[in-house]
Amino acid sequence: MDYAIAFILFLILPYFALLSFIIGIIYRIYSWMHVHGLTALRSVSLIPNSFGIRDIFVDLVKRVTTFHTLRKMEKDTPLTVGAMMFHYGIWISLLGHIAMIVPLPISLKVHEMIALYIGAPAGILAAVGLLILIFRRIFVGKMRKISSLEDYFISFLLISVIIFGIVQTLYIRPNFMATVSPWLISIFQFHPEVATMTSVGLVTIVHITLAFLFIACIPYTKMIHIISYLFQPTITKKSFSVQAKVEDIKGGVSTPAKEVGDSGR
Amino acid sequence: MADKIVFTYGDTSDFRSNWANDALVEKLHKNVNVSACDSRLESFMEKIVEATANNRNVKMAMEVCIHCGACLNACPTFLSSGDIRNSPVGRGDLIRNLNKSRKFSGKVFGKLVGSVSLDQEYFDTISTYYYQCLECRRCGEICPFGVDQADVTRTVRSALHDVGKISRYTATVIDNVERTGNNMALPPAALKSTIEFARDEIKEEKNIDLKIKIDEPADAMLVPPSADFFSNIETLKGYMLFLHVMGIDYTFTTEHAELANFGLFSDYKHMGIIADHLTEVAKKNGVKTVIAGECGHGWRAFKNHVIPKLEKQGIKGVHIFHLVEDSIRSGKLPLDPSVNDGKSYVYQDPCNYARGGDLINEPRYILSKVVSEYKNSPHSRERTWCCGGGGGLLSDELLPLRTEYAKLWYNDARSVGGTHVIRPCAICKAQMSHTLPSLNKTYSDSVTSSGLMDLVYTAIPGV
Repeated sequence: MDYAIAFILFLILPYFALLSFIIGIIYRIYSWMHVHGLTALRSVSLIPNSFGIRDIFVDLVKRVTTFHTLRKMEKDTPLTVGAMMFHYGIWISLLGHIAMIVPLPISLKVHEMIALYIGAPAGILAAVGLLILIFRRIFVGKMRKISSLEDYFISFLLISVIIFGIVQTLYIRPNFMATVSPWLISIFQFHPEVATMTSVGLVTIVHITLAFLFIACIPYTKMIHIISYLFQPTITKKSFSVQAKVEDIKGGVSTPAKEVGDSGR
Repeated sequence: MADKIVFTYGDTSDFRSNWANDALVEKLHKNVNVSACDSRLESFMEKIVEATANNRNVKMAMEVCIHCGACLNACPTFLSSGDIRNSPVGRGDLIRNLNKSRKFSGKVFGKLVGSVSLDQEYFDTISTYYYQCLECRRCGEICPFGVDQADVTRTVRSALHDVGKISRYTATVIDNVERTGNNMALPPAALKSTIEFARDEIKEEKNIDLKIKIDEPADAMLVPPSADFFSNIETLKGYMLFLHVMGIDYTFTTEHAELANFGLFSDYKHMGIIADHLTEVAKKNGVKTVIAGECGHGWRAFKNHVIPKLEKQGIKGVHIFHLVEDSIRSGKLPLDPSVNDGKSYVYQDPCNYARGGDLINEPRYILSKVVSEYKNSPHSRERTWCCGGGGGLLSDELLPLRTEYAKLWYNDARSVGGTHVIRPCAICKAQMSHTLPSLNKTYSDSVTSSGLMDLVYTAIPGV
C-alpha cells in the first residue's frame, strides 16, 4: 500500500476519530450536566423506591447486564433477543480488541486460538443480533414508521464493521499481532508508526477505516446511548422517602423526613 | 367537535380536545403572568427550545432516544389505538423532528432525517396528540435509557398553554382551583354540609360521635381531592373515622380543599401557584402536618413539589396511607376484615403512586389487613396500566378513546377473576365510574370499583 494512503487511514483518521470521540463525549456530558431543571419536580425518578445510591446502582447493573426494563412490560421478543445477542457479542469482541493493546502473558498461538474460538463466535453473535434488530426495523410496520436515516445509517455502518471483522478473523486470519497490534499500541503511545500497516489486506483496511468512522460518529448520533443513561436524572437521581408515625403528628411534633433504603418487595 | 367521534384502530387524529376559549385562556395567563404572543407558532417554537434547554430530563429525552421501539409495547395509548403518533416515541418525534430543523443534520438532510418546519397543520397535530397522552410513565419505565415521554408531554403542554392552547377541561379545572380552592368550585357551605353529612352517616353506621374542625387551628390539615367531597363520600368517611379513632387533631380547609393539581398535567407555573396557595393555607391554620388523601397525580405533585415548599415553612407532608400503615403495624387500629368478605378484590396501582410517588407497599399492606384476601393485577406495581383518564383526559369528548384505554386494566382484573377493583385515586375512580357501565355491558360482567379508605372505613368496627 502507498505510504501516503496508510498515513491518512492509519494516522490521520485514528487521531481524528479519537479526538472527535473524546471532545464529543465531553461536550455532550457538559451539555447535560450544566442543566439542573427537572420540570419543577424534586425527583423525576422512574425507579420505584430508589431512595439511596445502592438502589440506583443495583438498577444500573441490571439495566446493562440483563436488560431488565425490556422484560418488565409486554414482551417484544425480537427486540430483547436481538439486543442481548448483539450487545453481549460486542462486549466480548471489545475485550478481544483490548487484548491487542494490553500486553498479556500468553503466546501468539493462544492469542490466535482465542480470537478464532471466542472472538469469531462473539462477532457472529453480535452480527446475528444486529441483523435481527435491522430486520425488525425494516419489516415490522410500526418500527418502519419510527425509523429515520440516522437509524439506518448507524445500523448499516455497524453491521459492515462487524462483518468485515468476522471475515478477517475466520477466513483471512492475518498475523494481527505483528501488524495491527504494534500500530495500535503506537497510536495510543503517541508515537504513531504506520510502517507495519502498509502490508495489511483490503478487508483489514475496510474494517479499520469503518470502525474509526463509527467511533468518530458516536458522540453525535444515537450511539451516545453508551453513556447517556449514566447522566439521565430519571435513572440516576434518587427519590425521596416520606415516612410518618401517628405519634409524631399528635401534638404537632414534626420530624424531618428520613431516607431509608426500601428496595421494595 | 360536534358529534361523538367513533373510535377507529390505527388513527386517532379525530380525537381533539375541546379547547379553552380566549377569555378562559386570558384568565389563566393572567394568573401566571404570561403575556399574549404575537405569533403563536414562533412563540411556541421559542418556548419548546427554552424548556428543552432548562430541564435535564426533557433535554435528554429529546436527545438520547435510540428509536428501539420498546415503549411501543408499554404505552397504553399506542397499544389501544395503533396510531404511531399516539405513542411515546411517535409523540416525542413530533417535537424531535421540529428541533432537527434547527440542527446540522436537519439542515443538510432535511426530510431524510425527518426534519420538519412548523406550520399551522403541524401545530394542530401536536396539540391533538399531546392531549391524548395519559402521562402514565409506562414508557419511561420500559425505556432502557430512562426517556420519560410523560415529562416531555408536560413540557410541551406547558408551551401550548403559553401560546393559548389548552384543553377546555383542564383549563376549567385550573381556573376553578385558582378561584375557589378546589377543582369542582364547591363553595365553603357545600363543603361543610358534605362533611357534616359524612359525620352524620358515621354516627348512624358506626354509632361513633365525631368532632369536626373546619378552617380551625389544629395539629394537622387533611387535604383530600375535592372529588371526595362530591362523589367518593365513602373514602371521605374513611379518612374521618380513621383520624378520629387514632385521636389525631386535624382540620379540614374550605380555602384549599384540593389535593389534585392539574398544573402537573399542563403547566409548571400553575402547579407552582396552586402549591403556594396550599402552603399558605396550611401556615394560616397553624398546622404542623398536611395529610394527603387518595389522589394519584395529586400525590406526585404533592410529594415532589408541595412538600419541598411546606418543609420551608417547617410543615411536614404525609399521605394518609403512611399513617394508616403505622397505626396498623403498631397494633392501635382495630380492624375486622371479614366485614368486607364476599367480593374478589384486585389491587391496581394508580400510575402516579407506582411510577413517581413511591407508594406501592403501603396500600398493599393496608389492603391485606382490611380484606381477608386480595389479588394483585397481573400488571401491578410499576407495571400497572393507567385507568385511561390520567393526564387530564377525563373530558366528555374523549370518552370513546378513554373507554378503549380502559379495556387494558379492565381485562387485566378479570383475568385473575377480580370482581372489585381497588384504585385509591380520584381520577381512577372517576374514569372507572364513567367506563365500567359500558365495559360491563360489552363483556357481560359486573365489575365494581372503589378506593382503599372506603374499605378501611367498613373494616373499623363500630360501637
